[in-house]
Amino acid sequence: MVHHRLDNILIIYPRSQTTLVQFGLHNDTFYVPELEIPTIIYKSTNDKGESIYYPTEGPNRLPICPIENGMIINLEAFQEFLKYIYISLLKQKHDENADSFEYSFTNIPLLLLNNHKWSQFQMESITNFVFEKLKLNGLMLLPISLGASYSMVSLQNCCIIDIGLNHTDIVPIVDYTTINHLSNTLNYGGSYINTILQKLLPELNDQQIEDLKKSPIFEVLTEDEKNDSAFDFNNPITTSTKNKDDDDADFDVASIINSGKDTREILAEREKKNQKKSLPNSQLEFNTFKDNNGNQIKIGKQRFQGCDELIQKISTRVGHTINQLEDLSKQRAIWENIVIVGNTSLITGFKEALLNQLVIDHLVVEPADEKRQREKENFEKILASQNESNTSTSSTITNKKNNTKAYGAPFLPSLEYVHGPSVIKLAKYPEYFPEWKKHGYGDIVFLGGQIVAKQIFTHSKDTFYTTKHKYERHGPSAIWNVEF
Amino acid sequence: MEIPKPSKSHTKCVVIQNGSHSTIAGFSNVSQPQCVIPSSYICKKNKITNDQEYIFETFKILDECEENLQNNLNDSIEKNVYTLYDNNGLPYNWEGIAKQWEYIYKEQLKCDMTEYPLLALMPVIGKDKKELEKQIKEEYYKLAFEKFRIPILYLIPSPLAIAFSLGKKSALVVDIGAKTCQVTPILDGTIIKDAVMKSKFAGDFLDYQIMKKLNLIETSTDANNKIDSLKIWLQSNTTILDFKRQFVQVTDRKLQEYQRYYEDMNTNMMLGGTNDTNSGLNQEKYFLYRDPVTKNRKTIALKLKECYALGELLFDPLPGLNGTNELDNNNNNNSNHNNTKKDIEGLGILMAKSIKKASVVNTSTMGISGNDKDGVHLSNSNSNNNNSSVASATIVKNNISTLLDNVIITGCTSLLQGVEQRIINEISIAFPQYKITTYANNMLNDRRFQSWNGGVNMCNLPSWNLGEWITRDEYFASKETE
Repeated sequence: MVHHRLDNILIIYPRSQTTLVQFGLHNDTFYVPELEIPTIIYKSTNDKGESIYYPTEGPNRLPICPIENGMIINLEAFQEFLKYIYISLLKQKHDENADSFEYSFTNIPLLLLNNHKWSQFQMESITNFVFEKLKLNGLMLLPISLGASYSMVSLQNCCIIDIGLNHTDIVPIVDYTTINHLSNTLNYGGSYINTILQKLLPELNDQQIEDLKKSPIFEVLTEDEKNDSAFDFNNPITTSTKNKDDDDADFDVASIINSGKDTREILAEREKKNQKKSLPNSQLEFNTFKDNNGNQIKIGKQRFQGCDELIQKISTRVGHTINQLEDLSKQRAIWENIVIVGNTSLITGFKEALLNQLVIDHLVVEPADEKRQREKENFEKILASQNESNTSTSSTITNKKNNTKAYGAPFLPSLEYVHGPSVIKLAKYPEYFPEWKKHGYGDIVFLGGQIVAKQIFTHSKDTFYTTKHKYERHGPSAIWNVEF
Repeated sequence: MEIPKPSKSHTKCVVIQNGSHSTIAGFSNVSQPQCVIPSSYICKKNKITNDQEYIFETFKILDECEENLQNNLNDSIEKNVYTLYDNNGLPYNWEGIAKQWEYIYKEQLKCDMTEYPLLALMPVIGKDKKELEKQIKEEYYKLAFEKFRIPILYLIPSPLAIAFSLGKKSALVVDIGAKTCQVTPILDGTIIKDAVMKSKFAGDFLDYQIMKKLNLIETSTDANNKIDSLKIWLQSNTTILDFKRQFVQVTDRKLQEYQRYYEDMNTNMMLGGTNDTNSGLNQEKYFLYRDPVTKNRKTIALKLKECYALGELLFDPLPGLNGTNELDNNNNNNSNHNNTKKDIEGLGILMAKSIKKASVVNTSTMGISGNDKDGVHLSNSNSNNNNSSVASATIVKNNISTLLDNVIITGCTSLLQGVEQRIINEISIAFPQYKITTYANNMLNDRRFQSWNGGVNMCNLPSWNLGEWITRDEYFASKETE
């Protein structure tokens, strides 16, 4: 029976762009991961034709990104990447205290968050590598989707929408289990917003677009905010490039960038004026952000655009996914717990807008025009019956009934449909992790990893993860015997 | 990939179930399938370059369909939905199946085809089609061994796998699928092929009836039939699917009886004789129809009896065939029709026939003579069958009681509300003196995967002696001797 110390636990969350790493958990609270390193490794080939991997760039070294859209596309490189993370962490600890491995770091368990697209073969190979090459004593592979659901205080039924750079993973969870065959990937992610923005703002370069997306002035507006704002969003023509030229005639961003200091001062003044008014971003005609080089760039209504297409695509796919579930009560439960993760979801208003789109697309409510029609008919009926009862002296039982109706409120209850979701809402984000609350919930999957790691590795039983002992008995396929 | 390979002992198999509606595939070492995809696919053909693209993934097919219907069509690209199974629920599009398996291995399981044994679940083919069965098996072997070089293959009829995985040697498997409704009696681990009964009145038939009911069938014969195949696929996998799950219901007895019962009750309750319009069978249910193409929404109100009428078609398909789906029109002539048209058989008749045939066939094939002392001794009770000897009558009785004690209900369409109770009632009408026990998995998703799970269980048996696992070498050796 092995008992793991909290500060020995290693958690790795590899993603296509960057990998989050934390070595050692804290007793009191969960902190945001210490390390975010690019998921990249450099390879060179020696005289014998063997591959050698390096963590840094160098001559004749080929950069390899082992993960693409969540998938492991180069397993060998990925394993080497894990090895470098592990070795450099050990080195760091060794440098801090040369003796530490004598007593504190004797027994390191690894929790590795895995994407649903990793194949059985890949996961078995990683298990093999972790036990044989890295000589670790405990391993747990936790699906990213479960990481997300556990970070929200273990949701029983939910749908995870994980928006990455070039892809969006949609994973339904039923009874704490990910549904493998319904887990799917949409080939659009946060970068799709950049593509759209680039079309709207051809004068900005890629980096500036990215900076704009990450700046606080980039928002997705709700319907109310759209109505309050200075722009007409309902008119489709204004979004087309034609009319945009008119906007630019008023205010050419490119010319301002090129014109130098004076303009910037004007801009700053304008912004100060705006700030004095202290209007919310949504009600300003223009707002500015600073790009990577410190240039201030002024953006008009485009700062509220670019997300609609992505949101529409995600919403459609989520609908298809949940609809594939046979059990309607589970469907309903899932619709009430939509979980949106990934850094794109940090854009102000994005989550709300996506939820709104889901409601528009999938909520089963009576169409407004039908309801109006029904109300109209009902009203006419009441009027008619009133007339009738007024004229006829013999009041039958039915007429009395109608009378009371007529004097009551002319309100009609909505039709009740037996199918479909009647409620769609987002799962509640955890409020009681102060560090994470400050950081934002884009990487919340990692928090789930922390919670799970703390529970299973310090648990008195080792049933929930693969131990060295189990590995020696069953080989790499031991991971399939571990039920979590 | 040149990393140390995981141990290659054959503890892990690939299990594929090609069903008439969907194909389920996965590894035998996990309890969930890796992928569930339709048993149909889209072929995108570029008319200019003649390039062809095949799309198998459920969500990609849905996307393609929607894109096709929303946007203006690209004239140079031709899209079509193709099926893998014919209307009898038998595989026929072998080229498509080959492509589909390739996709499953490459994109879903992500493993080498030559590495793992494969268990494929196949449909049961009745005895009268022996030649066809041989052909189909031969095609599977060709596909597995010659094309994909799979090391070991085991073909098992899915009802058998389902029965075995429930720990039963004998069972009556009632499989209500998409293309066919099939009753398969199994006695002592053997499928009684003579008694396998099949009808086409299953899920797809209901789909068509629902489309008729909702007026979704376009009578106009468009020159572009190709677009329609996508549209129909989309409808039956979105709106119709929704509708079927919620609205199609089955009464516990014949709908006419049910209706009469209700009417009686109503007249008793309502002393004045006025019909309450919103109670009992006239109760209205609302369905929000969302057009997959235009996205328009429309409320469709159906009376409860209309919902029942749709479900009733499984047990009495005739009204659907006549095009009169309305209850009132066929109150009088229903019962007569069933006797005159022999090929139009609802599930009740199908089951009764199958049970009767299975019980008789077995006495002759098992070669138990009428002199059997035990048999005589046991058959003291009155026998219904006058033609056979007393002993075989006992066996018949035993067989029937074994079958009826193990009725397994499976298949996608069996998920409709009320199906299980109706099946029990239908059987008990035909065989009133027997005890009936049904097995229908209440976990809806599990029932959908029942065959596949059966296959997984077959792989996980401690020894593989039970099944006919054929290795590639054996196959080629047998080919040479031929």
